Amino acid sequence: MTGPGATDTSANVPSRSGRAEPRRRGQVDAAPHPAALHSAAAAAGGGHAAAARRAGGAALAVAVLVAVPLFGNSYHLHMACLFGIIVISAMGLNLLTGYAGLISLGHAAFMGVGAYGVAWFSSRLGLPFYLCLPLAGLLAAGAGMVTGLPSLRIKGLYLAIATLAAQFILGFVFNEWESVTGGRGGTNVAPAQVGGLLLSTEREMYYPIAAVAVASLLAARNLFRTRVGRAFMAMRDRDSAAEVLGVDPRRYQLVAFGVSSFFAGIAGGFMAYFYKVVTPGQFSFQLSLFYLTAIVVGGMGTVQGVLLGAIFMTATPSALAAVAGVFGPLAAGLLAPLREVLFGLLIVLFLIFEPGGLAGIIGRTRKRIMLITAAKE
Amino acid sequence: MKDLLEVSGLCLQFGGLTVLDEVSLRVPEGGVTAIIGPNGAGKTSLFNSVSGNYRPHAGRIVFAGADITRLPAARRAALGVARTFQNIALFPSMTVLDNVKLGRHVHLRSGVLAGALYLGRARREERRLEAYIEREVVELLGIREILGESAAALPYGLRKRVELARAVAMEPRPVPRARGRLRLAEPAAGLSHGDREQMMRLIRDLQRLRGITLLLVEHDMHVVMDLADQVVVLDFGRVIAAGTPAQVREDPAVIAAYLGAESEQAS
Ligand SMILES: Nc1ncnc2c1ncn2[C@@H]1O[C@H](COP(=O)(O)OP(=O)(O)OP(=O)(O)O)[C@@H](O)[C@H]1O
Ligand SMILES: [Mg+2]
Repeated sequence: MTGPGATDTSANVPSRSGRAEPRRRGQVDAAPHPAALHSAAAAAGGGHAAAARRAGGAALAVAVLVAVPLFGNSYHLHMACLFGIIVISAMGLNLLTGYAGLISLGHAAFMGVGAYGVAWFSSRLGLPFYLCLPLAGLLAAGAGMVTGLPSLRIKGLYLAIATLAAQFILGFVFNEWESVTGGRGGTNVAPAQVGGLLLSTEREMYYPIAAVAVASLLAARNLFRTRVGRAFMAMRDRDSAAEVLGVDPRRYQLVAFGVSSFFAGIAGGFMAYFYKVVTPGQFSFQLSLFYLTAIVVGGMGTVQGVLLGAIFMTATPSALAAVAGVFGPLAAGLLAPLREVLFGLLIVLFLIFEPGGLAGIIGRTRKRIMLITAAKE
Repeated sequence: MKDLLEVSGLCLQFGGLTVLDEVSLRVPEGGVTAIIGPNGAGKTSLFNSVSGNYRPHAGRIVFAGADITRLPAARRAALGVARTFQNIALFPSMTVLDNVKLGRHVHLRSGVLAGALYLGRARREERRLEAYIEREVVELLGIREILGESAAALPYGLRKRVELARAVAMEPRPVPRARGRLRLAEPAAGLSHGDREQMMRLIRDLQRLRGITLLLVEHDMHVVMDLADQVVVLDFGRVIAAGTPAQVREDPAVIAAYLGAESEQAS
C-alpha cells in the first residue's frame, strides 16, 4: 500500500505542488494512512480482526473444495460439478442483470454458443481443453455483444424482447445448422484431456470446474471494486448521471453483454465436456429462465447472491424429484411443466417482496443479530 | 489585479430573440465573480457562451490573453476553463466511497481484464485513487464516517455533502498547457436558498483554497451578496450594473430590475 506521500504524484493524480496553502497542507499531513479509508469502507469495520476472519474463511472454503472428491461419491461429485457450472453462468448473468441493470432472457443461448464452440474447436480443430474453453468464452462474448447492440437504444421491456429474440434465433441456428451443430441430434464431444490426463468422469472434471467457478466469483468481485464495475452499477442506478460523469452507457452496455456472455460461454463449454454431447434442447429458453430465477432468488447485484441462488437451484429440482417420488408417477408428469411455473412465480414474488433476494434476507438478519448482540454488551 | 477573463460586446440570438446584447465584463484573477439577474436575463446563456456550449454571433471572449471565442468547449477546457459542480444525483444503491470514486471515472484507465484480475495496474490505480480521495476530499468534507454507507440511506443534508464531495473529486487535474484556471458554477435551481448559499460557500472556499478563479451564476441577489468579490447584474440580456456587492445593492437600476421582476411575479 502506498502512502499519501510523494509516490502518488504521477499518472492520474494531480501533484500537490503549485497549490500553496498552508492550512490545507497541515490537514493533509494530519490525514491518516489510506488504509483507514479501506477499513472505513468495509462496512463491518473490524479492521485486522475482520481481515483475519476473512482469510480464515477463505482457507476453510479452499480446504472444503479440495476435500470434496476425497469424501464424495460419484453422485455428490456430479452435483458438485453441476453446481460449479451454475455458479459460473449465474455469475455471468448477475454481472449483466444484477450489476449493470440489463435484463437478459437469452442467457442460455450464449451458453449454447460456448458449448457448440467447444465441440467445434475440440473435434474439428483438435484444440486442447485449455484453449477450447477460453475460445468458447470469446465466441459467446461475440454473440452477446451482437445481441447487446440493439440495447444501445433500448432498455427494459424492449431489451427483454431483443434478448428473447436472440434466444430463439440462436436456438434455431443450433437446430438447423446441421453441418456444424449436428442438428436436433446434437454433436458428440470427446472428453477433455490435459497432457496425458483424461478429464472424463465427474471426479476428473471436478477440480477444473471448481477452480474456474472460484475464479469467476473472484474476478467478478474484483471487477466491481474497479472502474468498469463501478461504471456498470452507475449505469444501472441512473444512466443520465453516469453519462455526465463520463461513463458512456453505450460502451458499457456492450462491455456488460460481452463479459456476461463470456462467463456463459465458459459454463456452456464445461457442460459440453461434462455431458460429452451438445444438443439444442440443453440450451432452451427454460434454461434462461432457470438462470434468471437463480439470480433473482439468490440476490441481484451481489456475489453472495450467486452462491445462494446456485444452492437454491441445485436443491430445488432434487426436492421436486423427491416430492414426485412420494406421490408417484402421476405427480412426476405434472411436476415437469410445473417447474417453469414455479420459477416464474418465484421471480415475481421475489421481485415484489424481496428484491434483494436471499442475500438481502441474510444481510438484514445478520445486521439485526449484530444489533441485538451489540445491545446486550 | 490582472483579468483572467474578458468578455466584450457579446451578442447572442435565438431565432430573432436577442438573449445577450453587447455584454461586456471582466473577471479578475483569483476572485469570485457572480452573475446575477432576474429570470430569463440571460445568465445561463452567458455561462454557456463562456464554456463554449453556445456560439455567440458577435463579440470576443479572451481568456488569459488568448482569444477563445471560436474554440470548442473541449479546447477551452484544455486551456483551463471548466464547468464544475453541476448537480448530479447520487447513485443510490452504491456506497458513498464508490459515488465519490465515480467522480474520477474519466481520470482512470483500467479495463475489464485488469479489473477482474486486480493485479498490478488496476490495483495501483485503485490505491492511487483512494489516496487521492483521502487527501483531497475526505477530511475537507468530513465524510469519513459514512464512506461505507449506501447513498440512499443518508439524510438529505449528508447526501448534498456527498454530492459536493464527488464534485470536488471530479476537479480536473491541472492541465499541463493551461493558461489559467477558471471554474464556472451554476448550482441547480431545485435547491432552497439556504442550501444554495451553503453549497456556494463551500464551492467558494474550495476554490479559494486552490487559488482558482470562480464565476458563479445565481438569480437570487441575496445568496451571493457576501460570497462574491464582484457582482455583474444582467437584465434582458444587458449588463445593467457591475461592481462590489455593496455598490450593486444600492444601484437604482438593479433595484428597479428586481422590483420589476417581483411585481411581475406578484401579478
Ligand atoms: N437554447 C435556447 N434556445 C432558445 N432560446 C433560448 C435558449 N437558451 C436560452 N434561451 C432564451 O434566452 C433567454 C435567456 O435565458 P437564460 O436561460 O440565459 O436566462 P437565465 O438568466 O439563466 O434565467 P433563469 O434565472 O430562469 O435561469 C430566455 O428567454 C430563454 O428562453
Ligand atoms: Mg438559468
